[in-house]
Amino acid sequence: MYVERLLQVNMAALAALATLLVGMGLRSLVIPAAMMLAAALSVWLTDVSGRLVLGAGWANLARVGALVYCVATLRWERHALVMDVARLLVFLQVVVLFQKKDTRTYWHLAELGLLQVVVAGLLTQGMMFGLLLVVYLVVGLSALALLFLWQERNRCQPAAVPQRPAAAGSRWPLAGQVSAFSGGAPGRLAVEGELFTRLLRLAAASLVLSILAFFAVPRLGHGAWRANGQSIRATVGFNDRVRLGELGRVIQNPQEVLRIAFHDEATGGVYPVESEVYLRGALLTWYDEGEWTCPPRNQALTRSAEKPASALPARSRELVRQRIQLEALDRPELFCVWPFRVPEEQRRRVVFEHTTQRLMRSEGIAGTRFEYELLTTAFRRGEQTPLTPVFEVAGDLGSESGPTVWGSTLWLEELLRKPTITNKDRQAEPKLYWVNKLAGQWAAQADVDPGDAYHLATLFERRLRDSGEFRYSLQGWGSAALPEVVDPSDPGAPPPKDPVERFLVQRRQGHCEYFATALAMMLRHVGVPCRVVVGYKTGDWNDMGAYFTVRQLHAHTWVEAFLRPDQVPEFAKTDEERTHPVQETRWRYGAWLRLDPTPASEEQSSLIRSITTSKYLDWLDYLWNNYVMEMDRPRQRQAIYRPVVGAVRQAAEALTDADWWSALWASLRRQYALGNWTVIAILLLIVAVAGAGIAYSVYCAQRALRRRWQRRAGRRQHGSLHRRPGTVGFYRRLEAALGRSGIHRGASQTQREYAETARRRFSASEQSADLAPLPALVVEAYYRVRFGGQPLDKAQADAVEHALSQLERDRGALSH
Amino acid sequence: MSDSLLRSKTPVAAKSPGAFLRRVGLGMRRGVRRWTPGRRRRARDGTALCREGFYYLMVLAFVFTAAIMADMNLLMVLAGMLAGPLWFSRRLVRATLAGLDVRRRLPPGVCAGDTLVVVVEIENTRRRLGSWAVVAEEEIARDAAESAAIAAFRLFFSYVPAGRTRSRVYRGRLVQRGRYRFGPMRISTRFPFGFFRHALTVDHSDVLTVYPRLGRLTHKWLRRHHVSFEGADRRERKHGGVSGDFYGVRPWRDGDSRRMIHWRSSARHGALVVRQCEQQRNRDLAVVVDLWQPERPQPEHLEHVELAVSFAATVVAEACRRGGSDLMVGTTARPDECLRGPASAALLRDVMEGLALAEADSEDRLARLLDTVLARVDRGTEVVLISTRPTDLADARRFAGLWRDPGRRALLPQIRTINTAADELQEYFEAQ
Repeated sequence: MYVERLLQVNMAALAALATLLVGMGLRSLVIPAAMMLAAALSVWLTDVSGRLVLGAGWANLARVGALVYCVATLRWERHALVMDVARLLVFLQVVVLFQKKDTRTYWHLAELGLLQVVVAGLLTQGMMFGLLLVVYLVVGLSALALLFLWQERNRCQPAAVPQRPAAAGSRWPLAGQVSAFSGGAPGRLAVEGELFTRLLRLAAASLVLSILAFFAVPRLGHGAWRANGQSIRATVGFNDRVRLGELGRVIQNPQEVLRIAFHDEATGGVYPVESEVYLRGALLTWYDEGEWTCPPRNQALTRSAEKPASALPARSRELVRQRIQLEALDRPELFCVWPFRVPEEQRRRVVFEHTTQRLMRSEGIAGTRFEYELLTTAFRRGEQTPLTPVFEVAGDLGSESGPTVWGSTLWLEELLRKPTITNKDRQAEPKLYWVNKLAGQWAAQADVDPGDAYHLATLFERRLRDSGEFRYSLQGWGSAALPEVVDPSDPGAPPPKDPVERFLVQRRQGHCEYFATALAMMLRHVGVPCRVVVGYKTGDWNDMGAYFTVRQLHAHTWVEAFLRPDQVPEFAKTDEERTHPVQETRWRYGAWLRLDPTPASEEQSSLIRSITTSKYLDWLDYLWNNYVMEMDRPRQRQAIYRPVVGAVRQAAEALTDADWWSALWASLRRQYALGNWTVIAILLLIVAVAGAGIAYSVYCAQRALRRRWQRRAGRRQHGSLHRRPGTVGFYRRLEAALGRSGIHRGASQTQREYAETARRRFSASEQSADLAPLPALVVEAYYRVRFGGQPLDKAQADAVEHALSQLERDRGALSH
Repeated sequence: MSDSLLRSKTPVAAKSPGAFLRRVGLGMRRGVRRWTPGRRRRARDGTALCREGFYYLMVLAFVFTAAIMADMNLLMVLAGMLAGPLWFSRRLVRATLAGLDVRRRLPPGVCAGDTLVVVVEIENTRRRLGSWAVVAEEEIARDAAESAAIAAFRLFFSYVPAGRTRSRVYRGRLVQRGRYRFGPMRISTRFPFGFFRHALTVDHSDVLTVYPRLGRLTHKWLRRHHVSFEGADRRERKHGGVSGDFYGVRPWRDGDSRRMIHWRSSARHGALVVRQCEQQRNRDLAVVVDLWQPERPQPEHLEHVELAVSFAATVVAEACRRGGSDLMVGTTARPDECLRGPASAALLRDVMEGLALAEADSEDRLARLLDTVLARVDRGTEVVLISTRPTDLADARRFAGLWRDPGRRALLPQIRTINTAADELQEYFEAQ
């Protein structure tokens, strides 16, 4: 009873777990919750109290009803079809749960649960699916083992011994009765702790085996299965247009957007990045009425997959490969550290749109996870440099316009464009009075040459960011009344109307879009060309996976100011570049100076800190997505086969290389000379463990081969005298031979008695006296084999064979 | 209802969809049974795939094929997880039976129809691993080569912990006297999931002799016996201070008198042994059993044989219980061999063994048997002839040997003949 109850609970849990796995794929909480309730109710109402037990008729009716309902609501779309099938399975399982449990019902439950897991496997699942699958494995094994024990116990239940009455009219009380036996009661079914310990070990071993099989079994196709139902993440922080004041409180969404890892192109190792990383997404150059957009002429996007971008010069010293895994977003833009170059193998996957200066994906629009790799030279000594050379052709640089690298033209007048308003004289005059005034004041206060764009820009940046006059805030402005401002030098000045003016002179707090807009407009008012960049800025470094995580809340806006070649500061140039005219260096088209005027926010920092505590989960999720969900043939080669083959080859080369051994020996001697016993002990331990492992493997292989050989040898001897216990071939030959001599064994005779009869018969005749001892010899061998469980050795087998041959040959002796 | 009408129903039923589906289902089930490896190899030792394992393998193949064909990674994980239990259960079924020692305990003897209790013990000689779900299977057959099993049973040992012994009991009745073979025993397991079955033949066979069924002698028989021999001489011998005839030695037990110790034998055996003596106070008895039956016996003939054997066994058992006399027992199954000795438990065992194996046939060997018996009995010995047919000892032609020898002829009047085919048996004996 105890085991049966345990089995019932286990099966109900298994059913609920299977439905939970399906529910995770369907992103539905209702179905798993309903199944859990049904499972709990079935245990209580059906299994324990027996109040609600569906009979076979009602169960079949319910099944048919579920089938009809599901067929009626069937949707002929792949993802929807999978959902419908999953729903049908859940219905069927609920019906079975409320049936009376027997072996067949339990197997149905297990099968339906497994089918649900199969269906769940067709859907996109997160890391939790993997963890729950392990739980499902443990619960499933436990359920199967309990079911087996319960079933086996029932199979061995003793049958009642039939008691027949004595035959009527018979004086013998046992007349008409038959011998009957009954196995004893099987006793209490033991479910000791050792059983579950062993099942846990079995589950662990199965898990290891499944991991090995998963990575070792070669993938036939090129792409991993992707379900249509992959959830698309809405991009809430990034946009290709910025409208100030549109957002209320900025949503601090910690959802992952992408992961980016940096590797040294020369060595292949991880490139250590020690600063925050700016990932460029969209460039905005037009500003008016509080809104940043692309220039109108650039709205007509053209793509040039045939001419992929090559933004970097061929000669790059610190070339870093950025590996980016973008989540399934609802936008087609790709993000990366600029400047970049598209490697050869990636040129069919990413497209650079020259007009908008954006990187886009070519495979699918959106909605699927996307991985790409790019090269960049943006890093110097582990930090992303604020200055990057201009590779666009500056349209108004006259003679400097050389061969186009980007394939696009840099329109400087657009980078200097300010919102204007037409006055009474129908002349355009600057619209942002307060910005203009403040920029003039700041420029006047700064003791900087107006032509020194670099210092002017960085001064404005520091003023906004570090002066304390402006504060970072995630709160929206709302409709709160603002203090009135009056220009003492010009009382007739218009009140601030544009959001950026209000930010600068009235609110003095806001998020990155306000800061970036303010800086950009002020720089343009003092004649420094610039633009606003929308992208991501992250410092969320994951030590475990050696990558940066970019989340929705990392969406950021900053400014890039254009520096003419003569404005490029000296510190940005290398020693070699300083000895050459600037026209011969990479700065010949000028440079982009990244300016980030947004001050640090304690609110955001604390949020990011709280998120980074789940680094391990994030890393596991990264591994799950990379090496489980997205495991395909190229990745398998790259991540599994090549490293394994390489390691084996390397080990083999090392082990067969005399130099390696001599170096090891020399190292040991050196350590011995230094008295470094710990290192020596570790090295010796490694060698000993490796040696023992190899020896044990050889021993196991040899033992397995020997057993196999013995089994085969045993099979070859099938039919000979070396037979296993229970086979009586040679005894049958004896009976046949004696039978031909007219000596038949009586029904009540044992083999020995039979042999004794034969001996007497043979002894009675002089002709056959020599044969008299032979039957006894064969029968003794028969007893040894048949009942003694002992095989015959060679000498005995030969003796028996000889005796049988003699009996068969001289079978006519008696008849004569 | 006419015959044609009956015939016409069959094709109609066969054409119905239900019947067709049933037929297809039956065919599929038969096909599966035929192809299930576990069924074909069930009777052999070794490891075999069971039906559950076969279905599990099919599911695994389906999942794996789907995973590999469509690069479904999650299904690949699932396939790996499904493969693990299958792979490891094959190893586990073997490990479960390793180190198990199986023993069977049979009673020394049992009478036909009595309850037989057999104890089967399994000892797990391993130090760490326990064994679950071990099934011990055994067949019981008449001890004749290749005779069909008359009973088969299985015992379920749910758990045998490491280093421990677990026992199970089965019981039943053997209604025919004779010699039975138990075993060889096969132990098998399908632990942990029933996917594989591993079986081993681990035990030797045991032989059990089922003695004739004992009945009850009536008062009439006992009184008649008493009256017949009232006043006959009694003997009582004393030997070394201990009453009775010395007939053997046995190991010393607590409570035995030290005077009974046979020191010379004790020195030879290296352990204390005591003399066994029996008192003889009753008259000697010779039991002659004539087990005759026609060539084609009817059930009543078989009954007469069994009644004769049972009656003889009961008479001998009673005599041995009373003790104090010499006994001789002979059967026509072996007319030249008679069992003889002081009435004792040892003799009773031998007699029961002989009667258990005695077979009736149509050959008349009674005269030969009487020759053998009467040549060995002393004068005054009661001779009881138990026969399955009417016997006329005055038939000088049939018993020519007896009638020719005056000594034996003089003993003929002492022979008391009991015909088990006649109703007179009920006066002396009640079969139970």
